[in-house]
Amino acid sequence: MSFDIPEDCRYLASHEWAREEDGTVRIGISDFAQDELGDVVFVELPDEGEELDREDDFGVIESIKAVSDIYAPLAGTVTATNDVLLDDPELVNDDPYGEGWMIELDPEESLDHLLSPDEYADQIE
Amino acid sequence: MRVLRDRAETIAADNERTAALVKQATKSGEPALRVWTPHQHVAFGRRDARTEGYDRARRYAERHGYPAIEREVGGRAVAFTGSTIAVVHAMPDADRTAIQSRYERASDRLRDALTSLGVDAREGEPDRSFCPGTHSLQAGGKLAGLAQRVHQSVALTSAVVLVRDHDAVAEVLGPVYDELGVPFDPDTVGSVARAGGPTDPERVCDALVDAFSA
Repeated sequence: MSFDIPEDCRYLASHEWAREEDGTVRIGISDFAQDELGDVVFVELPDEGEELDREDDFGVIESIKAVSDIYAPLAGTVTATNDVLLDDPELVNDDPYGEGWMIELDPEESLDHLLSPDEYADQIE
Repeated sequence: MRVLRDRAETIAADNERTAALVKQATKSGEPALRVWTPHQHVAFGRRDARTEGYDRARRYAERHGYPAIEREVGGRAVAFTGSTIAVVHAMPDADRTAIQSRYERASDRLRDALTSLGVDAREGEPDRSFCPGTHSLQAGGKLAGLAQRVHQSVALTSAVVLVRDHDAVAEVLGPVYDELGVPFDPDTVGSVARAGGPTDPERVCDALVDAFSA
């Protein structure tokens, strides 16, 4: 089975993605991760203004299979959360890199330490 | 593997004991198992806590002698009567993406334990069961359910096993599920005893420890 791994994202080994967009960084979980979790039924996100260190857990995702922590791929301050997910958590399954995004950060560091799409593809092979 | 069997003085202390066990497993890298009979209470899931009827459901449970807590693992409300068994199996450095294989192993171990007690349980659950899920065991009703909580450095597989008191569980969960707006048929609640097994939780705990330690 092949999974979508967009070229404009960088990845954390724990299956979160990060994408730079107009000075902020948008974050979500990968297509592989949503497939592994199964139908997502609940998402808990942090408050705006919360400061995160690299690999801090910033939220919780519950699927029909498991509850899993979500980790910050980089350090920064939360500037926006996708509150649509509170009522429509299935967007994480339907569109993990688009409408299923989770938070936006004002980054304190670059994305250079994260896995490239090729490296992430190798990891999930 | 470190194994813990006893119950703490209070529900809060009991939860702290589990948290400490998991923390220790994470730190030491040694798997840990806790098998015990928690105090009487109803454990609500995160989704339950967001429903309109949640406060009413909590109040109903508490009025009927079941203190309400929110639990970390997924799923819907579960009632513990004092004879209901909880299992927590902490696996450090677990592969975060091995959810299905962990379920399969845990399900096999649960079934092995029940078989050793003379209970022929099969996978699945009746429609409108409590805490509906895809990883349950049934024998004359749902008698066990599994859940997982996955952290970066440790994976927890949890199980609930009803030893007896299936009528009491059905009695408290009926109105609770009504308030939560979750379909539930009280006749679907099974137990080890209802399936012809022993009524003594200690015997069932022994069998579970043996199966999960094998």
